[in-house]
Amino acid sequence: MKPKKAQPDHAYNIPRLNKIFFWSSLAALLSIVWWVVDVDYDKPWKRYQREFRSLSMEKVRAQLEREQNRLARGRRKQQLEELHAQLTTAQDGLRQRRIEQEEARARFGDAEKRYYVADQANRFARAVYDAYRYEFETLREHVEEGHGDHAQLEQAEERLHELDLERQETLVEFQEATAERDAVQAELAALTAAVDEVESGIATLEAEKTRLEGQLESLEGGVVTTVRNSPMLDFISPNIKIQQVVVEDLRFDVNFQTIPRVDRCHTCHQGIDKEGWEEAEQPFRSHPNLDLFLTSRSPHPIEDFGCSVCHSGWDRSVDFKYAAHYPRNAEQREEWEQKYEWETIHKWDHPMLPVQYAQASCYKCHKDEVYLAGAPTLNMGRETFERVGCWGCHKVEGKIGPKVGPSLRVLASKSDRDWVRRWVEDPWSFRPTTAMPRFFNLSNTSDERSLARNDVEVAAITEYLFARSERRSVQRMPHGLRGDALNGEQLVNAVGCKGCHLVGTPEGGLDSITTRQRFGPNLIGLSEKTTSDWVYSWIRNPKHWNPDTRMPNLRLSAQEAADITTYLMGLAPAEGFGSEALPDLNPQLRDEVTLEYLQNSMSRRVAEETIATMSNYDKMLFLGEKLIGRYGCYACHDIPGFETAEPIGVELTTEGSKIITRFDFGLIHDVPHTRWDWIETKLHDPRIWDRGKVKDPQEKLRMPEFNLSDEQITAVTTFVLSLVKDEIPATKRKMYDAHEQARNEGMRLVSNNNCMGCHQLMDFGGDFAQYVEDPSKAPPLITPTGAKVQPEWLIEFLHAPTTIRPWLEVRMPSFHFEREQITTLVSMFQGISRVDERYPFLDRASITPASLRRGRALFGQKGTSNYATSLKCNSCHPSGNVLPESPPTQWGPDLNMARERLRPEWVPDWLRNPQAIQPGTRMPNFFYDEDTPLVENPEQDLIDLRNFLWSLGDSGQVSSRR
Amino acid sequence: MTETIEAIINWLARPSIYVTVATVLSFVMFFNRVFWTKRAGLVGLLLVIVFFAFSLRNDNFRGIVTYPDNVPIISMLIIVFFFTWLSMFQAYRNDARIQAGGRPVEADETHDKVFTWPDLVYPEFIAAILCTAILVVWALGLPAPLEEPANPNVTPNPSKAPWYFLGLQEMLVYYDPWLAGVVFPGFIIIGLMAIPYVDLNPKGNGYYTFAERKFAVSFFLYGFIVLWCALIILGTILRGPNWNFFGPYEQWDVHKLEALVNVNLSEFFWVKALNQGLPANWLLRELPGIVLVVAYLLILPKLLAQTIMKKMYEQLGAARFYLVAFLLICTVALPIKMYLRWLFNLKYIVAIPEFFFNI
Repeated sequence: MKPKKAQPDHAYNIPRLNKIFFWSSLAALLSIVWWVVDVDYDKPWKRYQREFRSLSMEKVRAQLEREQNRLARGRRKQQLEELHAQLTTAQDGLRQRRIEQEEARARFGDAEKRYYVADQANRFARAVYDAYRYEFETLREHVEEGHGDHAQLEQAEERLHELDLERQETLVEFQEATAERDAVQAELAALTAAVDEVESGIATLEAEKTRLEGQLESLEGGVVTTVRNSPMLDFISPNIKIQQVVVEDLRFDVNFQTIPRVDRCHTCHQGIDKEGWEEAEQPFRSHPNLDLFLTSRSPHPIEDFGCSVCHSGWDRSVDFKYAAHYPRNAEQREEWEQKYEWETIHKWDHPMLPVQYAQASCYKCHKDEVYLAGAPTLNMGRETFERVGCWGCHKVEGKIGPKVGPSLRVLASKSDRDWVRRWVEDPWSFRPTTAMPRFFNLSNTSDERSLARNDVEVAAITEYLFARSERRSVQRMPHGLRGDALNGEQLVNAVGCKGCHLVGTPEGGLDSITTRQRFGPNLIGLSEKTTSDWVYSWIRNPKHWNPDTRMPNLRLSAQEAADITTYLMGLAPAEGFGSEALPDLNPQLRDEVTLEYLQNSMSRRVAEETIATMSNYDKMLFLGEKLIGRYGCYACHDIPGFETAEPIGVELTTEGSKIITRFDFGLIHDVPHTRWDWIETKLHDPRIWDRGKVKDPQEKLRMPEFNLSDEQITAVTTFVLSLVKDEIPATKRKMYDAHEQARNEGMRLVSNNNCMGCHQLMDFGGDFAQYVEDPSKAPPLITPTGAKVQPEWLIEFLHAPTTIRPWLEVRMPSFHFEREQITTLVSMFQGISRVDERYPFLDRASITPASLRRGRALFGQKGTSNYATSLKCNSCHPSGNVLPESPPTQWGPDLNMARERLRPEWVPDWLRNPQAIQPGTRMPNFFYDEDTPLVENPEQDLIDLRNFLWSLGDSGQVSSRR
Repeated sequence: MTETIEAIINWLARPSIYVTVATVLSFVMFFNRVFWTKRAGLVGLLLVIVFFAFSLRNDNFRGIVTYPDNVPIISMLIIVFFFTWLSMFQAYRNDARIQAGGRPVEADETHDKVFTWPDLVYPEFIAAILCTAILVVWALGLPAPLEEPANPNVTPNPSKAPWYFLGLQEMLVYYDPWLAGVVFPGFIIIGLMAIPYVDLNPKGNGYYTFAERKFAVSFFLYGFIVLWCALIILGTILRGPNWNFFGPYEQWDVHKLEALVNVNLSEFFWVKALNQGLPANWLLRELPGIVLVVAYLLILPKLLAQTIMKKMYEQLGAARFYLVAFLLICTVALPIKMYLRWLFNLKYIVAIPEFFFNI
């Protein structure tokens, strides 16, 4: 089509094209300006770096001002003034010798010229010689092999010799020139020595100021920096640029291959590895634990570990959304959506762990540490995971151990059918704190039909358990033994039952107690559950009923056991338990369910024929077995007939790496699609994914609901998230030395036996302390045990505990450890204290009489002349027959045991500062107050006193009287 | 009200109705001048605007068309319809002029010669600059981010071909890959290459016309507009997760299930019609399908030559005619199979899994 107004001979109107050209060029220019200035130059990470730079400048300026003020006041001001005055004097002195100085400077110029020439000549001579030597060597080899000319070789040798001489001559010249230059330089220095000294004094005083000024200068940059960072030019060599750490050996699994981590987090998180930004707004805030992470002094420096190995996220991204940040809760999510237009990204399998789960990442490297310092959530999660028996159904590599629930082989001797039915149907109504989860009447089985079916299922399970369990005769309480409930209560509170058992529901609910305090069952409601004879017989000897039980023997006397039994039998179960009558069994429904299960392995017709031949009892047994198999009761309980059954749950060994599309969120739309939200939601309501679905009863989800606090659920989620498939190379994994290995192995045993329900070990456990008012009455801190006691003694003690601290009411129970277990524990204690099993044996024969005498004087024996000035050890500690006057509750350990029990090198350590080793101990400081000696010669006294303690005991054969 | 309209449009978007409407409408339009006037063009534009204004209120539709990947498809489709209108507008205008005894518009405005500079190069240069500006603005306004690395475990659902292949991908639903992916696309290329050799009609050279090339224009436009572009629309907007059909306002629910039990022709013939089991011998079993296909390919062209396309047969001669007829029935084979699938759940006309030969 011919445009209007086309010029003659042209197809177009050229002036109009010019206009179009102008406007389109302008549009192109503007679009490129937009691109370069607004989009490229103003990328968020560049903005953050500029912002951080200006914040840093403010900080440095403030520091500089402070420093300047400091220099302008008081002593420093005076010093500076003095120095400046000295400087003036020194400079005056120098001025008077100006001619001398100038002459020296001229000579220095000459000398340096000579030095330069000589140095170069020498370098050339050396290089020429080296090159010729190589040539000569090759030639010689050639000639020696029978080729070539001997005359030529001789010639070459001569040349080499010449070059060598030349080399040596130039070297001599160089050395002389150096010496001359140094001499003139020294002369010059001597002239300016006075000025230099004062100047360096000033510099030292102003060092901090100079440093800050330098820092400020480099931050401010200058024209060059501004140009380097300006739009369009900032691709050449900007100093605002992406910062990254490449961690070659900690790799990301991107399916079918792995790639090294390239962590660019600190491109925006500029203050993360620096101190002083603790209060700053994100993204500039310092890492909250710089002692443990990122800094070069920490065990995880940023250059070696980066960030994403712990936090996950898309390492390479410098964009808020694509870095796969993940909010910790709904409020933060909303904030981010508004502030950063945040949304989840879908193709990256490793979204950043919300901060509450961050400890999950510790586990992949620190698997063997049962209690990991600095990771309380992970510890709690692992402990809860093991305690409530998750791993009974969900296999986790490396987790094996005794079943967490009681054996049901002797159920018939212990409880009655009605109680078991009520308990199986709803254990929490009996004991609100029980670890036994609920299987029935949950969110997917609470409709009318399911409720009726649940009754049938519970009855069938009960029937099976009773049919297959053994009825054993119970050791009766001796005739005439009458228990005292009040005394029983005191015993329960005091002897240590509460290290593992709760009595009643704690006031603060589940949140207020630790997993360790729920280690054993809550002790309420025993009268409903069993008979007093059974309780009596059980606490006298738990292993009689279940050789695998972890309940230890508290060595209760018959009377004590009777008292406790009487007390416990008086404790009612939770309110309302058993108030409703048990429903009658619906035979029609029973037959339906039986038929349904029969059809799993046969056709409907055969199933109908089969059920016709079964008695009602047969049906119940058949059904009971099938249902126990379906719900996996045998995962926690020892049940006859299920000795070899496989766990029913999904294996969790790499659950933390499971890809998100493998999680079934069912028809629930308001749960964010993340691993942690899925796990948390599932733990809150294990059947939730059935909501809105139409399912046959056997298709329904069957995980039971666990009685966990919100905190525990987060902790368990953290632990499950920690189970990842990441392969950590030996260079990055925590490598344990022999001590640490021994510690880790022992800690497993400690955890399995709940030692820390009573004892504090390192920074963990010691929950029993909350039941005693006086901290010295708590079970002792056992961290220093390895350094403290002799291994032989410890073996004996763990084998058969004896009373060491008579003032304690709480008792060390007999665990009936096996030999290997005891060895493991002893090694663990030594590992914790980092000591050998060998210790310097103190030969009593080697103790000098003088030392012994001095020791005796320090110890103080009643009746001796210097008793008043002695330490009067016997006023608290018994030693053999010598008893303190105070009541036994105030006593300390028997000092006659020391020689057999304690490691000799430990005693002085202890006496130096008992509080440091065992905080809360009643043992006073005799020798030092902190570091200040309290006596004239404390170290000597310590040794003497220790030596004397070693003379106490069995015979007293060695004595200073000899 | 809104919901009713949405329900109606969703219903219209069911594939069988959608393709039927597209086919019928395009032929009605090709042969009616009223659709190719300026007023009709404006009405069409208005309809498009009203449709988008109405539809963009719907989250699902907005989600699809404003997805940065889909924006070029949607704009391209609008551009295609505009140029189709433009060409048909000019064609009908020329036809009217020729009918009135005049010459096509193009004949009037032909210059003998123009200068390379500025008449050729200058506008090209301006076009290049404008393209740059538009592409920069587009890239910044609808950024295509460098996303996280592709994850073979998280494949997109639906997994769609690039937009220009969505028609082919749709074809794969109805035919096996050897046909839909190799033979039919091959025929498209062969067909386009054959045009100069089979087209003996000298009219329409250098100018737009419809009246003088009714068969050629409508056959090409049917292939391009209905079987290519309409299928791209279908693939972009109407194919959702698991390659299920969704109305334009229907939520793309991954969990939606369709009861699709497809049956082969042999089962229709032997089991349903003759009420007996399938013969064990594959040749016997598939005989009805084979007969049908052979008849369609060999007998139908002959019939066409003797009946409705007799005139064309005489014009072109046997060789050219049979080539055209073959291409035509191959083109039509696609909608035929589509209807058979939608209406009868027919899977294969000939199904010989013994050696992976299915039609």
